[in-house]
Amino acid sequence: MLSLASHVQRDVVTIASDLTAREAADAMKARAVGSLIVMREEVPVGIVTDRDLLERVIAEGEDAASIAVADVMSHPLRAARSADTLEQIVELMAMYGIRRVPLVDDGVLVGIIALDDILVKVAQELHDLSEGTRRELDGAQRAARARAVVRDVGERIRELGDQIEHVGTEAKRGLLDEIDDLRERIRSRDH
Amino acid sequence: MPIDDYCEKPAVTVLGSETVRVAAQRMKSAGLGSLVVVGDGRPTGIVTDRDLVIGTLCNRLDPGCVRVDEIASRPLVTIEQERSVAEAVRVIRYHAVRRIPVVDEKGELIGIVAADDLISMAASQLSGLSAAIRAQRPRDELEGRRTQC
Repeated sequence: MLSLASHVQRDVVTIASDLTAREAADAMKARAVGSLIVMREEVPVGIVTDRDLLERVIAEGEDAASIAVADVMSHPLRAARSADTLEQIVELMAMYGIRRVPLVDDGVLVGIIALDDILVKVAQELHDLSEGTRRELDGAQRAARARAVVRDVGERIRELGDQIEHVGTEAKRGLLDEIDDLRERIRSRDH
Repeated sequence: MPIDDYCEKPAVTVLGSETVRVAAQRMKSAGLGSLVVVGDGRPTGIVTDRDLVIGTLCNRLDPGCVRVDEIASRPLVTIEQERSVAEAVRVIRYHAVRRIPVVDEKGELIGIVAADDLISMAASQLSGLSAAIRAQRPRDELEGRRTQC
């Protein structure tokens, strides 16, 4: 299975829990991310997404300039550890219907894994695999074509052999030697 | 495979003249990440949850007053219902969008197709294919064929 380390983003964008929803939106825009890990005294305590701001601030008619991130974040934080497998993390995503899982080791935030990043990597690996299969097929087709050429040449050699039955013995031997040489060269190409 | 078979119908819409707050409430109750903006029965734009959040909160605008058509992303990219899934994938890729409204030949809105739905479709096809490969392997072995995967 795919390794966990290659999917982890180490640079996690965080926000203090006492900042406002508007400041969270500003951070999401500035850093081009859809979620922020919420920190309270260096400890990750929750996650706030652009979706949370839509549902809990805009739809509810809350004032974004005064409501605290702590009041709109999702918590408890559904986190995994770096030692977990990718399968365990995907299962966590499926179980809670979440797309991003932070990695927390002994209370310290060490990274985040996003479903989209996993999908992109899986798709890339599938693409590479299919390219390999395609090349193999191309190779097989080339080999099949080469075999057809060899059959064709073999056919002509037999016809030539039939024709030289009618020529003199010495000339015949010379021609047969040449034909044998030709056969040998074709055989070595076939492999 | 026409895209018509894979799009969600009908698309949930919002009028361009409605407010961002109304759009947010509709997205929340429908559990959707985007709405098609309509005017005169035709799609005029698409607006995502992120567009609404960034468009209002970062610009210090009141979501209860701002109209959706002030936020909606333009120009609108649509796809006709008879087009293939492969074409939809190309459009999604070219325009770097996750959802495109599906329209009929008159340009009227039929539904919406999301990259996520196409990924689910591809995944289920892949899983069907891998099941076929798994089922084939023991048969090949029974017949004494050499299989290399």
